[in-house]
Amino acid sequence: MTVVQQARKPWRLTWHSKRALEGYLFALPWIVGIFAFFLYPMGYAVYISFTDWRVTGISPWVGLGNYTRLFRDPLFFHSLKLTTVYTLISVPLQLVVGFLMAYLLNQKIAGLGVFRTIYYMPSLLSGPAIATVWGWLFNTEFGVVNYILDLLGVPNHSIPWLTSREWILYFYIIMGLWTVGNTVVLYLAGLQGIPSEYYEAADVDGANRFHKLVYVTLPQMSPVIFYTLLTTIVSSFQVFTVAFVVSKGTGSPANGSLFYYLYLYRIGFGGGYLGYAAALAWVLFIILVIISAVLFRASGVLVYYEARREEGGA
Amino acid sequence: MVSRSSSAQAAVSKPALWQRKSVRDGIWLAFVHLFLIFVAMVLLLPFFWLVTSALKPEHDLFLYPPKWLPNPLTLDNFYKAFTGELYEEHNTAAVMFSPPLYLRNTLIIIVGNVIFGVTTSALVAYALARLRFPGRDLLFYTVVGALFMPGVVLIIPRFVIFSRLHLIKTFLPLIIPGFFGYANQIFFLRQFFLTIPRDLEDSAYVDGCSTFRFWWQIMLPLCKAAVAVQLIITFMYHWNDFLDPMIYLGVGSKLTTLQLAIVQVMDPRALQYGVLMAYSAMLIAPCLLVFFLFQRFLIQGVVFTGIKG
Repeated sequence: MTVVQQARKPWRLTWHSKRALEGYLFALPWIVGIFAFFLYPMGYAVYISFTDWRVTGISPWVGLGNYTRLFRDPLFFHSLKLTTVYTLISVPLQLVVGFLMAYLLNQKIAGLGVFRTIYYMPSLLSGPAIATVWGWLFNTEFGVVNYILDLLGVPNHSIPWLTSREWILYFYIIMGLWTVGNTVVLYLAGLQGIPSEYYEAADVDGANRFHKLVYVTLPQMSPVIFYTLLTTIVSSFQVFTVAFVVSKGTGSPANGSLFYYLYLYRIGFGGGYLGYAAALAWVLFIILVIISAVLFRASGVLVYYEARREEGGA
Repeated sequence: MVSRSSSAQAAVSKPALWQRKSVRDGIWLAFVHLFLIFVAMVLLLPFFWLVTSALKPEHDLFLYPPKWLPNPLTLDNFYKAFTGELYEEHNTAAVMFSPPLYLRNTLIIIVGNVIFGVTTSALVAYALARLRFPGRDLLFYTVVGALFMPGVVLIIPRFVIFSRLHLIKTFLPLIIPGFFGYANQIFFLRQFFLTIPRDLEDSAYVDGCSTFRFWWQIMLPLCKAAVAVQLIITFMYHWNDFLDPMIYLGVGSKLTTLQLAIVQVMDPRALQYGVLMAYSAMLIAPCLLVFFLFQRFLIQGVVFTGIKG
């Protein structure tokens, strides 16, 4: 609406301002929420992290004390390293396996709906209750996983999955892979959304399977891949529930399950050191923001976005 | 075009059976199917093992090699898990364990979030999708920001705020966030509202329909499927939620939720694997039911968020 038009038709102005007022009214909960539930707590968290805030309520100002304490805390480095290693192995594995599965499903598959349902089921149902089953599946002596390894003729099949520091990480990686269905479903939809004319054009140019994958499929899929990469990294850095249930909150064996979030929980709510926990939270937050920023930067170069269509009006 | 020319070639030179494209494709597809079935079986194994373990008597769980199928079959574990008879053998202390109470607690949280969370999210989503006001785009960016924001930085200050308000050991810290709407629900519903043609609103306004009435009586019924997805997601999320109930309600308290009570079932003093499996199976069953009833919508929902996002 230009000023001229508004001046000519004054009733439209009132109509629009009424709409605008309603807009604020409808969005009011979220507007309040941004301040009350995001910005204020975040600022408050900065303040808390500068104090020796305890659950018991004593909170003397310690300045950067909590942050310098991090450098002297071996468990901080341990949990950060564990979580990073887990992310570095787990995320690429999930993306690659997710892509392969989606690629296989995107053919003339009989019963596609059934497969999709079964593959997606684990990601939706994963929770504390499933973690208990996984603990039982990977039991050293009576677990079915070791039994299957035995049937397959694997030597030394009594693997102490949950009780040795070397094996526990594989356990979490395998469990993470179990919930790959979320990625599969997204990739499958992405693959189905690629116009078949692109492949036909590639056929005309004499492209083989590999060429089509590299020059058509991957560029078309790059926005979805980017989205899953970002969300999987953020969630894998914040692994908590599974590790808590499997290790009964202890981070056992020998801190092999002590992921960053679990350590933070132990400091803040187990030990009651809320100030130090807030500092831990800020460090993880900043790490994740940096990773996201780098990814977004890289996405400008690597991700192929189709020219924006009618979304401009949004 | 390519296939036509290759079939023309085939007619000329008659290659061996295994060299023909159709045969090769058929063999390849058969292998793919076998592989997909194998993967499906691997993915289903935990569910299978959960149910069969829950139906075995306790001493049958500790056999090597393990039994694939429960024989004899018993419902004892389910009975114990449901009635809370966990401590019969090591009855050192009178420990409270009451699944029906925990179910009630869980349902209170879910209903609170359905009433407040989904409704508020739908209101905000409508404003972002349809109403024009200065700062709307900025507001939408805050929703996207909140969507990708790591929640880790909020748990400590929110806990401190709620404890200053004396709301620890109440359900309110788990319901109040819903008053302000959830970013993922707002985002999803906004995208969905955008797909509804605008003419509808124009004609409704001409007929003197108010914005609120339009939202409630026309927009929401039109987006029934999208709202249903949000209801299901709300249910699943709060049914499975673990950290927040643990922080605000506490393990072993009268306010504990069903999922949190797993910690009590896993208590070494009471631990019976069969009961643990039965209890877990009971927690998964409603989710499984909801999933099978609504899986089409749910999968569409995931795709909708991920692809448009």
